[in-house]
Amino acid sequence: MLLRATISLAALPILVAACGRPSQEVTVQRSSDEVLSCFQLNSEYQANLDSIGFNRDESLARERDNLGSIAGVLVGGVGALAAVDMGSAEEAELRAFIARNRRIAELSEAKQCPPLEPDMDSIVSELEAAEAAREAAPTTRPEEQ
Amino acid sequence: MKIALSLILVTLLAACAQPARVSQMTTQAIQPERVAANPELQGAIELGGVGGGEETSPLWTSEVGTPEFRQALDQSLQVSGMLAPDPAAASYMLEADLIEVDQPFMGFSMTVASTVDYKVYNKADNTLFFQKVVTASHTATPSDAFLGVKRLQLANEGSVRENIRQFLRAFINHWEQNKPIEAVPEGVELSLLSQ
Repeated sequence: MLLRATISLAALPILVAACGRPSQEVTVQRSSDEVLSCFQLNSEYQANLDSIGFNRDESLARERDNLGSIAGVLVGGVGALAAVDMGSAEEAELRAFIARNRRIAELSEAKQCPPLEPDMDSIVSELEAAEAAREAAPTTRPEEQ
Repeated sequence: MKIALSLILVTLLAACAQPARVSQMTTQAIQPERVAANPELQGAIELGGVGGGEETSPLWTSEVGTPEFRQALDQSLQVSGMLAPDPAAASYMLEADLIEVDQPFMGFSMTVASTVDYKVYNKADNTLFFQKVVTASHTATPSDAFLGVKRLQLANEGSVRENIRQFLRAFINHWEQNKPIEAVPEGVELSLLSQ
């Protein structure tokens, strides 16, 4: 009884602290936006698309790590939950990059710059479709498809 | 009590180290208004050789890998509007050597200092246009991440991000002070330009 209580108390601060990495600040509207050239707008837009890809990869990697940590609870005890990253920094950054790119697209259109490609609506649709497929995957058996 | 502490210690030690991530080493746009005011700076840089990084062993500490450092530099230049879409058309070539990543072995607050030697060559005559060794540090605390390996990873990433930021600021400053003088159009007297 005493041992259980001790373990629980010792694990508590770890669980509280296990909240993942802080998200990086991504500013959607900036004071310098109005002076940006078409080249700068396109350049940042493309870089943000890459960042969206990196964040998505990170998010998937985190989920894999968390599954490993949860499995680790079985062999390593409650303390293994400290390795579970409960944060959603990648998702927050991903949303911010999408919002920033929508803002860039507006600026680009207002400046009559060449159209930015691919457009964010198609990117968001792709992300949503991939997310839906991923969520459906564990419950769908091959023979059911 | 001893068992509980042992379990926690085993868990902390069991966590695997991961390399520094590109997304966390990439800066936001650096001084975009100054780049906007200088069209010659836009798309002016080609990324050349990048080296000095170390591969991360999952069983040891988080490191900054060369491919990730290169990608972070590339992304930071692009987001700032200075990366040349066509390398052949670039005016400058950037080379970066990650000389040192000074990491603590353990600690609650972990401070990492990264040192990078940046060299920018003028491609027209292959002369060194700008050179600077930048050392930048970042501290990650237990409130950022509880696990030591994760905290070290965050400190690595923050340190490199700050390093790239300082380099880009210094380069823009240097470029503005030493920018190439534009050719004077025929028929325009020099005295008119100074007015």
